[in-house]
Amino acid sequence: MLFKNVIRDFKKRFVQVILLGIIVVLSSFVYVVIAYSVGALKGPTEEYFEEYRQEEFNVTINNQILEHEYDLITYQGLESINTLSDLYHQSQNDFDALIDNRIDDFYNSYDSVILEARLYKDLVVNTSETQHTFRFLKDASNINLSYISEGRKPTEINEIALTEYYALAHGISIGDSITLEDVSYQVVGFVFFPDYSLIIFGNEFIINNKTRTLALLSDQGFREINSNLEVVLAGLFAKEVNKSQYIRSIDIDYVLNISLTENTMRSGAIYEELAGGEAMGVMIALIIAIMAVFVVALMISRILNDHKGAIGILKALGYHNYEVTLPYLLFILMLSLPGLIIGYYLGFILAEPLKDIYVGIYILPDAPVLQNIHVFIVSFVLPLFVLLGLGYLVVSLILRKHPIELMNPTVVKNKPSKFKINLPFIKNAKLLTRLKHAYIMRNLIRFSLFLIGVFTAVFLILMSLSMIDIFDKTINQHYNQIDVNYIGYCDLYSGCNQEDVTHDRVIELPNVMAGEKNVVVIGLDADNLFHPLFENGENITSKLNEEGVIITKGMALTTGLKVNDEVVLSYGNEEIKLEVLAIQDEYITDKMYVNRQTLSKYLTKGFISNYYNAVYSEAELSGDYLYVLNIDDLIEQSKDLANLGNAMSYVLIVSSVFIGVIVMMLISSLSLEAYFYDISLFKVIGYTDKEIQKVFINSYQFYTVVVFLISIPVSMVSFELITWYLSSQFGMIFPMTLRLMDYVVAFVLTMGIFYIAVPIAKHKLNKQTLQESLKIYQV
Amino acid sequence: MLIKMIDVSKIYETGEIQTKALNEVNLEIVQGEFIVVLGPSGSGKSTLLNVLSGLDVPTRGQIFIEELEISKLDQKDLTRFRRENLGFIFQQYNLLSTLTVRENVELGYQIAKEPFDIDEMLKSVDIFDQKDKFPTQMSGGQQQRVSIARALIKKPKILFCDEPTGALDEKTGKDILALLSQLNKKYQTTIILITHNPAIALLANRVIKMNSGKIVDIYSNKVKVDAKDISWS
Repeated sequence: MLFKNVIRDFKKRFVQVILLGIIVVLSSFVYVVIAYSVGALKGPTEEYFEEYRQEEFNVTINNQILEHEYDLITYQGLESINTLSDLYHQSQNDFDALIDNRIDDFYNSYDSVILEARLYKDLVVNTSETQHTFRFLKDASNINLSYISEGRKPTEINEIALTEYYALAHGISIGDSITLEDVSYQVVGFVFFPDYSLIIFGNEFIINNKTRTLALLSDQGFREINSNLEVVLAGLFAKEVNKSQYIRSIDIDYVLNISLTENTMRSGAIYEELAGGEAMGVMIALIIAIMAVFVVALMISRILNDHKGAIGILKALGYHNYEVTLPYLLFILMLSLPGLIIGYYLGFILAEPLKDIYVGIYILPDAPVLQNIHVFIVSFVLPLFVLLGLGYLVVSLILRKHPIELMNPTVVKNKPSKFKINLPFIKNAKLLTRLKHAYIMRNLIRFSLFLIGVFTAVFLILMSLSMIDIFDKTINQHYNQIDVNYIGYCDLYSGCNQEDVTHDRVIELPNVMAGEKNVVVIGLDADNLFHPLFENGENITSKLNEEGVIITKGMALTTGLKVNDEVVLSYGNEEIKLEVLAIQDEYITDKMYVNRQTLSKYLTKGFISNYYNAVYSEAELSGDYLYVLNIDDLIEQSKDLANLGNAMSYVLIVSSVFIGVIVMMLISSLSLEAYFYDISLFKVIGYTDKEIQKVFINSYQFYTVVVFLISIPVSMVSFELITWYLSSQFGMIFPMTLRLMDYVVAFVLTMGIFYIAVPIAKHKLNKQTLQESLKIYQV
Repeated sequence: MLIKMIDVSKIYETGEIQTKALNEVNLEIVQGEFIVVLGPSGSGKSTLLNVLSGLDVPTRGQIFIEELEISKLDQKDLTRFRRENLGFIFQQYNLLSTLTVRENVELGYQIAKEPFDIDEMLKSVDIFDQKDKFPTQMSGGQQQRVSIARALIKKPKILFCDEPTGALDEKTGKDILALLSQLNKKYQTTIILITHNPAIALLANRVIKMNSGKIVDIYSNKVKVDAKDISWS
């Protein structure tokens, strides 16, 4: 009998069953797709990092040759040598000796580590469409070893290995030739470097693996590249130490900054991405799973309530508890099994393309998505047992009652509770208003389901909206405010010698320490033509005439510096204390502006006030520059990632609304079912459908607004925390800010959730005929 | 004439089986009458109440209440008609358990055009001192008084009572019947009471006996008996 009843209920509640099915599918799907896509990267990535000896920390060193280091140099033309790059190109033996000496100095002061110099050169190549940047990394022998996924390492001067993503994006195969700066290279392999899982060069957060590539050359080929050599030290810990404490303790003259790998964007962001992605996936899946559990609990208790009489009869006839329980467990199985199967396989299938998106951003060796027992248990077996266990628990509670109690039909079931109707904020409201709230809050599970569902939807909507155009905010917004289209760079030490007065003369000084932060100091003239500075939209360029620095908003966020604070800048052995004059509207984290003449004098010990090593120009530059940066190209290069980010935000918005609608539909449907008796009474007394809707459905509108309002401060605090975390961990600014329009859109979408779901409930309410209602009273 | 039924039939169809719950019933009721409808289970008395009150629609025939043909009204107009003209009392009281006595009565008050004063009504049914209690804190008789107050607060022209003493003991049942008689006199509310207890028929102005969906007898009581004097069966 109960089997038949259960099947009948399954058919009767078909819409609810479908909605619950979607929730179960979503829960299982979200977990599986993330677990498998992240899992496919995580294990192989960790193995790859270990096998190819990824650095555990990296040391930014002073690329100038320090005064006492000149004694180590045997090369005769010392007057032309200022930097490590100069020395490398003039005398490699002296360069090697100097680097060895620096490493020995380090070992002498601080043991427990292994160091190796990491040498690289950047080459900006103009193509017909855009600028491409090649970062050539010298093959290492101990740390950050290159990994050739296909082909072989270059051994000849004209051989090159590239990142596979870049090569494929340009239709380059192994064996093809490419020409860089008039030099032809044959591509002999595809290469990965463990210290570059993200191709981020410089201080711009631009990821575009189609226009930026890592490259490996033979040692001789690397030497021949005609561009500035950059040197950092890569390090491994030789024994167990407190890493953070260790790197903080280091005080060596040539060391500018030390970062642990997990705090270095290019090498460590992947750890956070995988852990964060997994955590986010588990969290969303868990929230949806909790909602599924609530829905199942509500449905089962509703059904059991309807079946009380039948259960009582069976108990009276002598049926065992397990015989009564079995059909309900079957019902739960029918509810959850298809959803779990669909969710699991959908997740497994879509894990591959999701992983490909990761691999398109991160430069990591590819690995196939493979099923594993852990994911299967967590996504399939565990939820199934939880739902069955829950069902068993609910049925057991009913079965504890005596048959006579179950068989005795009572229409009035709920005990009175003054709290439910006399909530403080509605104490003096009209009866129907109080009833509206009482009906919503009468069932705490249902109310919690509503709160969780709507809050999750609103939070995700706000989060998605805050992330739309986030890359535009961090990169392009700044460039849109200024008229600089081209930046021409000259050698840092010899400076520029251009006569063209239509350009702004600028100093870009890298590797300056501002407190403990490695920054680029920009020397600008207060009367410059193309690079105004703004603070909250107000032009503050004239402040460059004052003694002090103007820091970026990104820097203010990461360092906590405020206007009027003092910041100590150190460069080489020199230190200068300056006051923060203003905060420029720019999200780059490691940039500050000072008066160019002041900086020039500082750099030249007061001798020269007109030094500059770069020019900013609106028009295209021609002349003798190390390289020219095209800002339009830079903006263009950020578009791919920006578009991907925006697309993901839109998908998240649609998914959030979808989740919200499903939850709202389930809630209203379950409410109408639960209050069938009361609704019938209202109908019989003479209340119109509209009045009944007001009491039983429209009340959710009020709470939807309340949830929306609550979610605003919660979201704001959460976004602040995320922004703070990313900036403090990686120095990366992720300004999750919301404009007034975003709140309006979020509100419209939130109310949309209510208005999409409600007509279905209204239809169900209107369908509840008086004839059905009458059955209640004719017992 | 307050109510007029002309050849009213109600047929329920379950698959191929047709059940004639009402079979060409004709009936007239005047304002202020106390009518008792008697009959065994399945005789059609509840169906009569349903179609008369607009809770259900007849399959055939016409029903007029104050010259308004309610058998032709749609659900929306029927709802409006019910809220303005009719009151209901059921065997199971059907009170909302989360509302106090006063609030349950207020449910009827809220939708009435010219309702009675709530406190006056509570005094009339003798539960004023219980007004802040919840239904589950009251006896069956007291709950039925609340149900009566809720129905009468709207000043209905007709009060439909479906087995109002069915769930009560003899003493409480008699008290409720006495109250209904008293309110019938006081407010001139037409009462149509359905019961299978023949003793209750003695309270009525007229008694309608039903069987197999038909009115088999209608008679008037020459003398109405007080509720306390009837012998309970």
